[in-house]
Amino acid sequence: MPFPKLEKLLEYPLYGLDSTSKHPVLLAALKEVSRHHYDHCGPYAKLCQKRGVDIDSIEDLPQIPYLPTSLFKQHLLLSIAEDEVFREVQSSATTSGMPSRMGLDKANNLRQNKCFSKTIMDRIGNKRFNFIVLDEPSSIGRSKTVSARSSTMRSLLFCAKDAQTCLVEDGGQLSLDEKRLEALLDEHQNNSEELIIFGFTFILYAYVVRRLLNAGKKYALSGAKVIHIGGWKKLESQKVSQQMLIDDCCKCFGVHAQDVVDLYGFTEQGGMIYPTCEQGRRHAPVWSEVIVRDPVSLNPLGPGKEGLMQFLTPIQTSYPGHSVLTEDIGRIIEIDDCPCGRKGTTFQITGRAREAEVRGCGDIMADKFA
Amino acid sequence: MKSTAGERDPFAAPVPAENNTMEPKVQCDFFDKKKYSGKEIGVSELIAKIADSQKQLISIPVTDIIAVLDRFGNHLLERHNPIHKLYPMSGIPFIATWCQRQNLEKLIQTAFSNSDCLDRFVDSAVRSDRSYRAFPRGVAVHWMAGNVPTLGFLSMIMGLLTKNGNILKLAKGANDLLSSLLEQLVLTDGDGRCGGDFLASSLAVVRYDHEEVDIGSAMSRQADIRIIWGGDDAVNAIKRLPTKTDNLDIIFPNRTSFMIIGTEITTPEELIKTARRAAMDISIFEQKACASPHTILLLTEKRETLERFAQALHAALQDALKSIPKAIPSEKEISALLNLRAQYDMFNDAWYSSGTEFTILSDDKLQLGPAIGNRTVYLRMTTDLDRIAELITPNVQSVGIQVDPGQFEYLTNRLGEKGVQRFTRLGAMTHFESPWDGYFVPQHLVRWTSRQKT
Repeated sequence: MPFPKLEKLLEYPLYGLDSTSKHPVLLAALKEVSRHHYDHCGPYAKLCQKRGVDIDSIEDLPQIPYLPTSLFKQHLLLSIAEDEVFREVQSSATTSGMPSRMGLDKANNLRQNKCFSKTIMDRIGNKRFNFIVLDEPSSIGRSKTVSARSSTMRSLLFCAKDAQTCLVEDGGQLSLDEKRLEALLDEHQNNSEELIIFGFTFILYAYVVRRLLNAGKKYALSGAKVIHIGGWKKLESQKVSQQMLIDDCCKCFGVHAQDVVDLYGFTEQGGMIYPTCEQGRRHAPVWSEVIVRDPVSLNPLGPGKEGLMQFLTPIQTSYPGHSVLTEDIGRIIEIDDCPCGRKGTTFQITGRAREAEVRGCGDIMADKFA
Repeated sequence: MKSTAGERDPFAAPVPAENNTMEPKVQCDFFDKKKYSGKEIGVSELIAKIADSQKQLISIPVTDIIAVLDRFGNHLLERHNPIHKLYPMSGIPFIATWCQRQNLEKLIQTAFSNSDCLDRFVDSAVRSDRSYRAFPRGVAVHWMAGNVPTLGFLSMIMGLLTKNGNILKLAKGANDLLSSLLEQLVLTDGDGRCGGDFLASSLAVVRYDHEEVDIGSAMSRQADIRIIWGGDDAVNAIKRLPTKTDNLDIIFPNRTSFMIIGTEITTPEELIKTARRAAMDISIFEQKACASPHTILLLTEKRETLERFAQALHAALQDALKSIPKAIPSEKEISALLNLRAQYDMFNDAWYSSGTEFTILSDDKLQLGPAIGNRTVYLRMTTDLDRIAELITPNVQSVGIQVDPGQFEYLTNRLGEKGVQRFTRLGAMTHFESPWDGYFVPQHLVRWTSRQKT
């Protein structure tokens, strides 16, 4: 299925267009993909009809209908024939016990991988790194079935020349192999520019950084990068702020604050990843946009106002995940004016929907920690 | 037999509270006619004080109590009363109207026929040789559900009318509306020695966390009546606490309610009127009350009838937002709503506001709910009255009903037999009345003493 407008969009520099230039090309690609979903996904077409949405008449991004991410827990929505599904992606099963399910064809899968890699390389550089992965060995090993947690851990390894782990699993409980971690960190003190320490946010802070600092251990790994993912819920409950995490990472590993990178993404829009930039902000690249909606009126909110986060991207073509409303709460910081030089809307995630279930591999993994 | 040193003689008198260093303390919002923030008091001391004040109540005629509450209700209804701004959308006008003389007299009259029995012995109409008097049971502790604290106030007033002392227990995170109401009661004038301050001396509002079992146990152990509102887990947890041997439990577990609407609506005006009444029931309390409807069963086979009603209800719910402003839902509730809307748009039918104000869902199922809240209602159709009866479970409380007389007679008997506790006209489902949940509540708050006629 050709998507010329989408393909053209993907050729633009990742953060090179200001919103005035970006929105027309993004809207055109989103309309092209919306039309595809309308024509090939019956339930999506019915939803558009019920809401009186004429795809061809859409004039602005907020007019594109959104699906709540939780909908993917209940229905496998496809815009391709079932026999074209190359890979079914599942989110981590959460407290609801129901994972989201998304069917990918080869083209969608490839596109997701390309977009993901481009975004990561823009942030960390286009070279290969030595990884210290804060997980146990099987999470990065080869296996037939891939858990959501393992899938997250493996996601960055496309740019790895070596990957070592430093957690051990015993009877379902994880614990830190301190000696191994210390040996790995010592080993990289002299070539730290090629080092990436990667793990879930809670594990990184509570079981590595705090533990090392409490033991009085500090490293000189200037130039190394600390990348973490997986949500803040558990750390927030312990009153740990983002700045505190960055400061403590700097103290512990001797890294620069700009080299502590927090990744945000969600399974319902695979391939989309939003790393914090050197200024600590997240940017919507040329192939995505973020809209913050008022919880009561559902109208789009301007910069600074907190609401429900909607993400739009035309890269999902095998299932109607091109416009989704998450259960995350956040706000737009500003548009096209980040001191880091990247264009696009910058935003901040400020929390999960109140009373929402604990979600994400990071939170689940934290529960498993001994 | 001598008791061993250190062991307590099980037949010895109870240790006075002041000597008992383990006596748990409870946080009081309202006690001794004053509103507090964070004041702690020993549970035994609290109950002893309320019991003392309660004894003074016994000699007060119930008409005097009603007179004070009537004035209190009227004062609450005054537009300039600052309490309306302090606690918007908390049902204060409803509480105020409920406290007015007409309602309270009806409540007592319905429960006792002759309200004089609360003040003195009255002769029996059946037995010529006996007289009867209804005495208070003592101290009633009301454990409130988090969902509608308004009901706690009504529960407390029924305790007061029957001359019991009353302690109302709130959840730790509840607001201080009830103690603010009692603060206003204190300022209400009365006749003779019975003023608002006198009545308020027998009332207290406390709060503690459900995990503080020692406080709950101490209160439960000394209560003469336990009135428990809440979900199954909360009710069972309180029921397991120790009690006096002759304690009486009145339990109001979580309930669900629905509507049945016939299709004898012939004119557009009637359709609008019916939809407006239904919209009121759906909008009040954001459907958090047991009597709030979550499902409307339309007695029809025609899809177009259902769609016409859905559109009328949509307009009526939109209108109701003007008189009953929307309480802001939590993000979790919003996510659930948006999910349902998307699902029903994709696979069934839905009508809803442009924001998250209200949602009407329609599918091919014949079932009640599930209860979603936030002005979300399932609109379903059937013409099979017996299948409706099959839907009734013991937790169905109220049915708003508007059907033809034949159907009314059949359904109220059949559904009543299955467990429905209350049928009302549309628009009146959430009006708290007696009997409630199958109880004429005041009847249960008294103990009867009989004597031979002199």
